[in-house]
Amino acid sequence: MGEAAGRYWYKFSRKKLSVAGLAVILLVVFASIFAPLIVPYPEHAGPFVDLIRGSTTPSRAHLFGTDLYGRDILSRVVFAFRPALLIGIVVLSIVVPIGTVIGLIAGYHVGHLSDTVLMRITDIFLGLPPLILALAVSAVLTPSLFNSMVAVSIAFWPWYARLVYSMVSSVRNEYYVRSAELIGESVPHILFREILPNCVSPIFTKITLDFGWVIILSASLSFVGLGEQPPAPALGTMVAEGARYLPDHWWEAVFPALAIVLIVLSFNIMGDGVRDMLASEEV
Amino acid sequence: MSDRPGTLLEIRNLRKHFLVLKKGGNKSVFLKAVDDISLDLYRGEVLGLVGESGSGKSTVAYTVVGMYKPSSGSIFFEGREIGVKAESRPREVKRELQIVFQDPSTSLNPRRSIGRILERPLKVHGLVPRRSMEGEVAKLLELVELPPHFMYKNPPAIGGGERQLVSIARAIATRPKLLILDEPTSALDVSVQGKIINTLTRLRRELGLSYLFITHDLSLMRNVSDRVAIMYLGKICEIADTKSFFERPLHPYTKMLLSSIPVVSREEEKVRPEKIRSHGEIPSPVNVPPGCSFHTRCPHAMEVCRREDPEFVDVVQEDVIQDDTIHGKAVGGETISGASLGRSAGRHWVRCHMYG
Amino acid sequence: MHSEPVLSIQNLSVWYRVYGGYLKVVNGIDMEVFAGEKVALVGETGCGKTTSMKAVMRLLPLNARVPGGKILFRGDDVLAMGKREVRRYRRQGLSMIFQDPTASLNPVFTVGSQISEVVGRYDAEGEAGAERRYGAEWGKGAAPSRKRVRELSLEVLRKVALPDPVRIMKSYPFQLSGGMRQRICIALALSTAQALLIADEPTTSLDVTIQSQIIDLIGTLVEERKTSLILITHSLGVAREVTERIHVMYAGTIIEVARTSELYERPLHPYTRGLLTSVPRLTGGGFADGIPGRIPEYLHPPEGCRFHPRCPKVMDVCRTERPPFYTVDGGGAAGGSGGVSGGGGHNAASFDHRVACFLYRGE
Repeated sequence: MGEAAGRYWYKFSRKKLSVAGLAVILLVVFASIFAPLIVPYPEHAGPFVDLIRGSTTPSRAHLFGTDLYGRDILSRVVFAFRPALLIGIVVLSIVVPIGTVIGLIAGYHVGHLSDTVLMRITDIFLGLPPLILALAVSAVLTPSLFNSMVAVSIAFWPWYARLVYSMVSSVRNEYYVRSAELIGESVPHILFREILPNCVSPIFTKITLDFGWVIILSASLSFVGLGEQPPAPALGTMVAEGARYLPDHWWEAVFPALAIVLIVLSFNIMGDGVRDMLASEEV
Repeated sequence: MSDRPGTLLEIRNLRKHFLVLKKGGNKSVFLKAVDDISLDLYRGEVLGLVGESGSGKSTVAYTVVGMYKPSSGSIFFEGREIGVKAESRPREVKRELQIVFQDPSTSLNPRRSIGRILERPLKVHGLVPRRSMEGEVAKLLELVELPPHFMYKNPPAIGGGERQLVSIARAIATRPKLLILDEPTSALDVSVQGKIINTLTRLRRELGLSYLFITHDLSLMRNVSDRVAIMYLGKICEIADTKSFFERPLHPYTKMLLSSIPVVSREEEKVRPEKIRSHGEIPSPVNVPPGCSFHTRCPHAMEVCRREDPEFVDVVQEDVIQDDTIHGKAVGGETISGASLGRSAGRHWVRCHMYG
Repeated sequence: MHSEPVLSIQNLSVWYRVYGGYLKVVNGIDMEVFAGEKVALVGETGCGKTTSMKAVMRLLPLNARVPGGKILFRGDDVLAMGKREVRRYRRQGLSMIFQDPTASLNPVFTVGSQISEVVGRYDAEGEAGAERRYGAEWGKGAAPSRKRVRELSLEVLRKVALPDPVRIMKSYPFQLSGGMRQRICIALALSTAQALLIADEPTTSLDVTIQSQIIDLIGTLVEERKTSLILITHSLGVAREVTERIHVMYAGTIIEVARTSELYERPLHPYTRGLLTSVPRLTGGGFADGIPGRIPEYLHPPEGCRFHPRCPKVMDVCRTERPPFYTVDGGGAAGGSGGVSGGGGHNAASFDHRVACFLYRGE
């Protein structure tokens, strides 16, 4: 077991950048878990107003400055990691299984009715730009963190269906699948025990990259007020509020935006490493 | 329905055509992979099916085992008609008719342990109670002379020859009567081929198996099969007992095949026919030449070859099998229709105008 | 005869960097090929033959290392060449044919355009030759005319016995059969190579009847142009058909070298013997169980002779020391001659029967 882990790490760490990305993400995760203990002003993440210290420039006391309500931006950014990561985890936990199952069934029955029905439905959802779709769904439901997760999930599942579909439709013709069919295996066995294990690598890579996408999508939703509601901190909301004061009080928008960029970029870079890690070795 | 007790498999006028291009009227383009094959396979024998690419040998195998549905013609296994896809076949047939594929790296799921792979046929057919499963799997591995601890390994962790042995173990798990072997050693190195073949020979004796052995390697055939059938572009050109076949190859294509085999010793060179320079390429089964399909490359092509497809002729002279009760005596040069080709044991059939 | 070998591989090792260390795939091999010779490098999957030839072509992947050895092509140090020299080396010196002709031809260009690209640009005979072939235009810096290039391309296709070259020029590779594609690759390779052609399993993916055509073709063309040939194959039969000398390779080491006829009649190394008894014979009679065991794990290869764990005649010394080459009643010096067989040209020494096996020590 340790042998396999070492091998995976070796492949992952060939590129220094992947390791850097992983380090940043681990830092973000750590920070979000221990936020109340490590930020300088944990109470600023809740309802807090101190207008005297409103909109002060970055200084020793407030590394990222304060927003117009006097709240420490650094502390709020770190707290905002929480909903960001939470959305990623929840959305992907819903979207990946559903999309995968749909892709499996459709891919196995390529050419038959179930394939056509499932994939055309998938195509319809794919045809709508994810942001518009998510906005539409959110606008119908009451704005909240939970509902923004629902909206993003609806926008995301077809991509997994499509990915798994294309993998399965080629794997299902492999001889080990045919052998299983000739022995008389049941369809669920073939789908989950024979085909799926051979398709997982691109799924994992996609999950890593998608984390970044989900975060951007949810930040966009909260930018227009459809996500986590104030006064709870959310990166998109902070950018929206701060944007009004550009370019004078630039720090109010720029630091949350930089945080988004950093997280998403790190997931992308890490995604490269994950892909390398799962690639088969050939001499 | 067949009533011949010694016959395990009967193929009658089998055709498998694949639609390549659909065109209006009658102009659709078909790939005639298998184009009217009739064959018998007797209990306990090894029947070799030899051909190059486009010959249809693999298609015959896949149709017999149920991966494809025949376009026309029938397949009888132990007297029952089985010419449908595997899903529709009765359980017993699936148990008794199995296949070993060519490349063990793709015919075994690389992500499952060998133990699980070998369990499946036993589980699916309910042959073994759960608690005895591990023991049964160990026995299977022993049958193919592999160490029992292999059941915990995944296929990529073992060598190519061992993988093929696992593939064979899987196929014999249900104690089939007929095993179809599709080029079982072509993807393997020479140093492991012998082990596989000798294992197959031993298993045949121990388990009372019959084999339909498909390959392109005639040297292998010489050492393995009881009878050999040569296929070219979906049809059989020659079929005979191995001894008769190699001592007196008749069909020009057979001679061309034999003369092209690279050999490793002078003795073999003496036995090999003169090198026949074949002109041109093998035609595609999408565009089969008219008349005798081999005429485009045949050094003896005659006028009639371009027009007419030859019939089978039996050219056996002396030896007759005693229990061949259907046709009585063998006749030299008598033309016999394709349907009765079944009685090919002890005969040497060739389909060529030179012998008509 | 030119006394210097066209290709000289001296104590070459190639390792691949992987998790856990190095895969020591090629383990100090020596090989010489003289002008006009046709030799074979025979071995099974994983023995390192393709890796060795990739080293010669400077086509090794990024994680490969060459911890030792030299490759000399006509005296030039191949491993030390810079990018420009490598390009010239590949253009004028040698070329390679690969196993899968489909992968070697670009599927989106017609055959004609691919041949013209090679024929029109490279000329192995240098300036004088170019002027002769393309006419006076060449010297003036103008490219050869389209008409001239087309003529040359058709000629090249005819050389490899392709019927209807005009139609083939207009075709795409996927429209042609495997045998035809391989002929085209041969044509391309031979239109530039002057000194050496490396053919890596050129017929493995082809049918038997086509295989014999292609092998004959390679043999004939190579002889006509006095090009040297290294044939890499796992098929003992194919090697026997067309070569004069065979090197048998096992686990990264060359274990036996002999004149072709000699090797098949008098195989010395236990591995070679094992291989030959495992080949099914056209004369019938069954065949051996093969060689027990597996090829060694290159991460931690066995000490001493790499074949010793599988050898039926293993002795104590085999487990600790690596056997040098012993010459067995050939023309050269008897006893341990190890390493390169005495330098010098296409002379009797290159037909010595040499075995890297302690069984023949002191013969």
